[in-house]
Amino acid sequence: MKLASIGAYLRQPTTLIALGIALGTGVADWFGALPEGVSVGLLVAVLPLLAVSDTSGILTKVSTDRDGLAAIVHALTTHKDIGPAAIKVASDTVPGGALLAAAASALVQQQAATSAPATKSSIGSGAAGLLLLIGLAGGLSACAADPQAQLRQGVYVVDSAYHTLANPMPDVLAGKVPGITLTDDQKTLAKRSSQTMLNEITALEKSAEDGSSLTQAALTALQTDFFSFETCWTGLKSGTTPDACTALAGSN
Amino acid sequence: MNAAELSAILGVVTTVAGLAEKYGPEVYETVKSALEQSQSSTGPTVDDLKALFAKCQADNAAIQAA
Repeated sequence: MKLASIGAYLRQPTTLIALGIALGTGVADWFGALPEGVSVGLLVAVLPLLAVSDTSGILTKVSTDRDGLAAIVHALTTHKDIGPAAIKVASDTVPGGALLAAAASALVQQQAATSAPATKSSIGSGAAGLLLLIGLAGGLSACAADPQAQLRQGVYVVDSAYHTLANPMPDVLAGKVPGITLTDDQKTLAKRSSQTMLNEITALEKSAEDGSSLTQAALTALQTDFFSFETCWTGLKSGTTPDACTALAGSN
Repeated sequence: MNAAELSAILGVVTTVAGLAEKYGPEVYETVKSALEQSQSSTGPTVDDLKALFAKCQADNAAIQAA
């Protein structure tokens, strides 16, 4: 699916109808208003409608695997984690098993870290984001031809990831997010880790402005530290203090 | 964009999904922009990077002030 056609795709009647039914089925499952067998049948029927413009065939594969769908429906109905069967279906159908493993891991970590009401909303919204990105992932392949442009793309992605992760952090640090309480030491680690990340981003930003001095080694280092930053922040929110935090904070 | 880069964004999106109501639109725009830039044959311009860098600076400033 080309990104430029996503808007048109979302406006298609078949897409809207299928999304409406799929989301409605999910809500009905959540509140136990539909038997699981009926829900699976509904999803098998409507998911191919979403796959009309999906050249990767991911949604079609998912919709034809009843065991995986049943596992997802059961997870929604019982308010449980998305189980191994469902994760395996997604892993098998999407290029890059690590991608799904990371997403599944993040979902599980988040569910373990949040309070009961937050967990309910997090499963739904997390799964929705997961599905959206799985759909988009099918179209990812192109890259710039110029080596410096490729490196700028890499920096842009990491910057985007940092922005996405850091944007809500002030609210969490201020104790405004229910279910997450950080100690003063953890807050200090989070702040210093963020500062380390920004220092690295600043260095690569200056290299990009120079026009030709971005290097793959610097980008790889940035990516590695970002994963540490993510690991650190995820751990802090769940009440632990991963080694990644002290490593990142220590380098600041 | 390779699998590692995408998984970075994907992991983040799912991590903050519980805050999607407040931050969802910004997350959506950020991810959409990253995907578009990754698809571009020319990549982001320096000005594109500067604009995103300004957001990162603001994020970190807010974190340090929290």
